[in-house]
Amino acid sequence: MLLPKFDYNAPATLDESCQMMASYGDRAKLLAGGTDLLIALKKKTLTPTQVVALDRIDEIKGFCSDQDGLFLGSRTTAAEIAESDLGPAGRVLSQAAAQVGSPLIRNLATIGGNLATAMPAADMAPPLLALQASVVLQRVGDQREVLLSDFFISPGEQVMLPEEIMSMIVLPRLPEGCGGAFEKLGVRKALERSIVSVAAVISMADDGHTIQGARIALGAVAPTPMLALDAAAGLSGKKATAKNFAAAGKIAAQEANPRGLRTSAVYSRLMVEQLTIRALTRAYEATKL
Amino acid sequence: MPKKQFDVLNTRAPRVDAAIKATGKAQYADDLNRSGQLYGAILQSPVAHALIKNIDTSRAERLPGVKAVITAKDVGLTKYGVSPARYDETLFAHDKVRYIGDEIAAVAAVDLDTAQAALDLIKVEYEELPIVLTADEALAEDAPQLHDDYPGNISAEVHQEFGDTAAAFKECDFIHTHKLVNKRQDGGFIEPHACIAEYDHANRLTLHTSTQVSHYVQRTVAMMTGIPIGRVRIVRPCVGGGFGPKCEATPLELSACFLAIKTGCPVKIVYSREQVFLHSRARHQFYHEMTTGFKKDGTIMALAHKCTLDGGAYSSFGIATVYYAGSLLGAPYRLPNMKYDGIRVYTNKPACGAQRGHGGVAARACFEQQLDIIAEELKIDPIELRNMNMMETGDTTCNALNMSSLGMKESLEAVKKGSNWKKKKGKLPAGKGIGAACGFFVSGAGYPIYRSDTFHSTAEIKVAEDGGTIILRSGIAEIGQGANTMVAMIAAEALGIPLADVRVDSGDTDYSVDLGAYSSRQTLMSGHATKDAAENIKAQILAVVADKFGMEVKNLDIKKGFIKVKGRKKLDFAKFREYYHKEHRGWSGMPEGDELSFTEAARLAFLEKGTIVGTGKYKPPILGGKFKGAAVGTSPAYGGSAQVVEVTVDRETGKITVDAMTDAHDCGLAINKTMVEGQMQGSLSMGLGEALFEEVKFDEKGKLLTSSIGEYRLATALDMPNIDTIVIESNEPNGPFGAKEVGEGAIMPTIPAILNAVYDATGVRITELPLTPERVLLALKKGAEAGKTA
Ligand SMILES: Cc1cc2nc3c(=O)[nH]c(=O)nc-3n(C[C@H](O)[C@H](O)[C@H](O)COP(=O)(O)OP(=O)(O)OC[C@H]3O[C@@H](n4cnc5c(N)ncnc54)[C@H](O)[C@@H]3O)c2cc1C
Repeated sequence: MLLPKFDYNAPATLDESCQMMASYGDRAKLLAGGTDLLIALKKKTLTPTQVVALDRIDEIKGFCSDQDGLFLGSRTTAAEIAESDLGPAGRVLSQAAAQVGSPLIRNLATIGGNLATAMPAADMAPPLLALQASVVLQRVGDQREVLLSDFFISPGEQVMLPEEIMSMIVLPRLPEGCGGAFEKLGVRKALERSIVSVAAVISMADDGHTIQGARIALGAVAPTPMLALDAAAGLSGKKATAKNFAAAGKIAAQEANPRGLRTSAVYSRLMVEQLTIRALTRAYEATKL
Repeated sequence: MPKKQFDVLNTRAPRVDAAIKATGKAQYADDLNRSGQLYGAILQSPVAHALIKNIDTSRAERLPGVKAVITAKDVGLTKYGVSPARYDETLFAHDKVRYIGDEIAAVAAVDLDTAQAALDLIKVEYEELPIVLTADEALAEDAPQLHDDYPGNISAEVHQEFGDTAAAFKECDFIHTHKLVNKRQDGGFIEPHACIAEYDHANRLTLHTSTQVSHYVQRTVAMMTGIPIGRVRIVRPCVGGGFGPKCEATPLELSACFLAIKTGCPVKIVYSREQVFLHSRARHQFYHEMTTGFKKDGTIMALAHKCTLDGGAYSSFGIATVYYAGSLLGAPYRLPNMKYDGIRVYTNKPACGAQRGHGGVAARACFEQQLDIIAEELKIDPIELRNMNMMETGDTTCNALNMSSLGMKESLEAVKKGSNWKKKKGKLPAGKGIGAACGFFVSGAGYPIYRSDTFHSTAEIKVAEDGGTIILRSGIAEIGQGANTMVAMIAAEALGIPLADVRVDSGDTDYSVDLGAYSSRQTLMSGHATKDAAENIKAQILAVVADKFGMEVKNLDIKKGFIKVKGRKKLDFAKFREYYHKEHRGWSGMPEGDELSFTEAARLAFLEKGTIVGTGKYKPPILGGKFKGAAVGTSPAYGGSAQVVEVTVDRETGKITVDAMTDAHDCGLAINKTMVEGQMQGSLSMGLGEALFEEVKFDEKGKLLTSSIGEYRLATALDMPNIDTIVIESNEPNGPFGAKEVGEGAIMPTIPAILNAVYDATGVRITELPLTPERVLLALKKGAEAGKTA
């Protein structure tokens, strides 16, 4: 398979790249790590005449934090996220990033690309959903912030306009006593698309036993990464016990909407239940750290 | 038996190609370029079964940059394949396509973009036919037929009985029937097939190609093109793995040859990964059903075995595969009565062929589980049951395979000890399990693929005229397994010189006849031919030395690069050394000391006789039974292996983790211990992949779904546990220096050992591969409902 012909653009600033995207419109595609895009180009499922590379734009690399939260550049790689200490809440994201593909893939794959591709099994989506993240979308003369829970539409589709560039992912500061965990089930131990993935984030009341709030997000079991809202709501005010976690697992399994493509829907739901229990259990452990 | 002392063999010498591979200088077929070369591309059918109504290539031919378009009209309808008894392919489909991927035309153009654009301009009109995708569908009464010549979609059928199974079953105390189905597997080698063909004005064709079998490719190319075989030269560059699917002439190679002939330009063609899957010729899907009978004391009495192979659209190696699936159960256990009914069917999918452990892997996986089932029934330790029934050196199987050496008991003992079996079997915590299995494999097919008295391997050694080195020329296939190192070590040992003084040039049909890298044959067969050639050289050189210095040859020997003298008489070579020094005035590193060096002796031989060349040859003696199909399974020697695997089964997700593998393999003399271990490790990883992950999938229209190694899941480094490899060295009388196979036999026990360990962990037998989490979990749930779970 050969790459189709296209012009390669390498703007040095975000402004410049926005200008380019504005003038090229849907004839252009942004290139971050290329681990999704190059496959689509080779398979000719995407046929842009312009490719706009983001790798020279330093403004959208790396991360910083302040009182309001954590700001992750969209061009930050999975390897960087996996190896960085993003604080107690960000750990769930690091865990997910560490399970993307293989070392070679993680060195290239970016968080922005992972979200923009909008695959149901994107591993960094569930933790970000559970962390109430939003994304900052940039275009000439305009910028908007979209909650990640409003971002995905269907497999491969999200709300971005052709001329928009995702510059940043914003994670609001979480209350003290929060913990999170990510669980991924694949057939192999590496280079594996998730059969099911679950991220859970919980915050505890001062007593250390009562759950103040929980967020549970599921990957690969619906047309888009999704929040298991009922399962999470059911935990609020409850004690962090195996029984309550098991009940949450059952509800999450019902909330999931697997299409039965790679594994049967029955199995997917069973795994949502199991992985939810495991993620909650580990998230609770993490609150004690 | 006291072990022989070797100077070169039985060491961990670095591979002779280590440096070029480590530094990236090794050249593979796609690295080769010729000035003025064209790029080829092949048009493949988008439908699984259809009549071809018309092929219009005119628009493609008119595309600027296109130099040739060929179809069946240009290349003819000569049938070819692997076994002459089953030539059922033409290079290009002309009346009918039989799978998505069937070749229809090929194009040569100035670049690959143009060649591929030209493919889109070829118009083919199809009249689609109903398709068969499974063995059951193929065998159904009104099934659509793939080949007029093979009614009922039956590509090959085998019915054999050794002993009297019906009578034996009557004497049995326990009879058990077990089934197993595996999935179509892919070789998963790193380097996709690639080749470059050149044709000159003297009607000579040279093909550089990524193949395991230069010799068979040469014959097929000669047959298909009509060019006399002496003018067809096949050269194998470095090859990035084969595992079986590179064991036959491919449409890629034949297309490149025809395009080179037509254009007069060099033509390169490379398969994409998807085309590798479409060409396939890898492991079949096997449906096994085995009924085994035992005495109360654990004696195996009889096996009745039925097997159906889903073969895909053409025969490829299939006729041998269907025989191997039966014959390889004849050993390593004493099995006096064996009945086998095998059938290979055509389906509208890429053709299956040979892959590591040819024909025997799924059969072994089924049979070794049965042994565990019976052992449990009889309350005998599974290793003990195997030991009780194990053959010994000198035994002959009911299907006439002779175990001229067999280190099976030693292998079994070694893995029992190495895995700490006694402490673990039956004593592991819930969710953990341990399992054992054995296997064995041929050390080279006893007969060539076409009927012939040909030597299976010949070799030529030329001594460099300056005397310092030898050049070994051989047709062997170095495909990454270390064949060049193996022959270099054998030549060095047999001649008595350091390994560094041997240079190997191999894989060229101009050098010698060698049937290639399949059926684990090269160490034994090419090793023999090499040894023969080296001994010939040694005799020639010692004859000159003896003559020159008035000695008897029988009192002379060569060791570590020096001439050794037995008896009291001294070699008076002072004059010759003086001459030699004069001949090399101004040179450094001249021979000193009181022994005549090989370099001086070889120089002397050149001065007396001209260039010294020696040849060697090998073909197996007449072996095995006389019954129909006896040729498949017959070998001069057999390698054996035993394995213990430990697993953890996550009972909530069904996910299996292989925690440890202990493997012992009897390879006769280990020519190179590191390379033996490499083959063991590679076999285990391929077996683990087949057991847990691998499956080539198609949609309901016969379209390949797993067209990349992202979709097709090979075991990754993280999935492999550390492996304890234990090399068992028997002394094989039919092998060169006592050596035999390790390349394929080592894969045999892996799958059943994993299956037996999963049973040990869960109490549930799973009869379908691969053991994906979903399949395992559903089996556990079923088991729990039946009240079986441990
Ligand atoms: C072998 C392999 C294994 C993989 N394993 C996993 C896995 O385990 N888990 C997983 O989740 N994924 C996996 N992937 C998918 C892929 O690596 C990830 O989705 C990755 O995060 C994509 O990021 P990228 O930077 O490579 O994106 P690219 O390929 O560069 O881009 C992907 C898409 O996003 C768009 N895009 C990129 N950046 C931006 C931006 N800043 N603003 C707007 N649009 C943008 C591009 O235009 C393109 O359409 C795997 C891929 C491969 C090839």
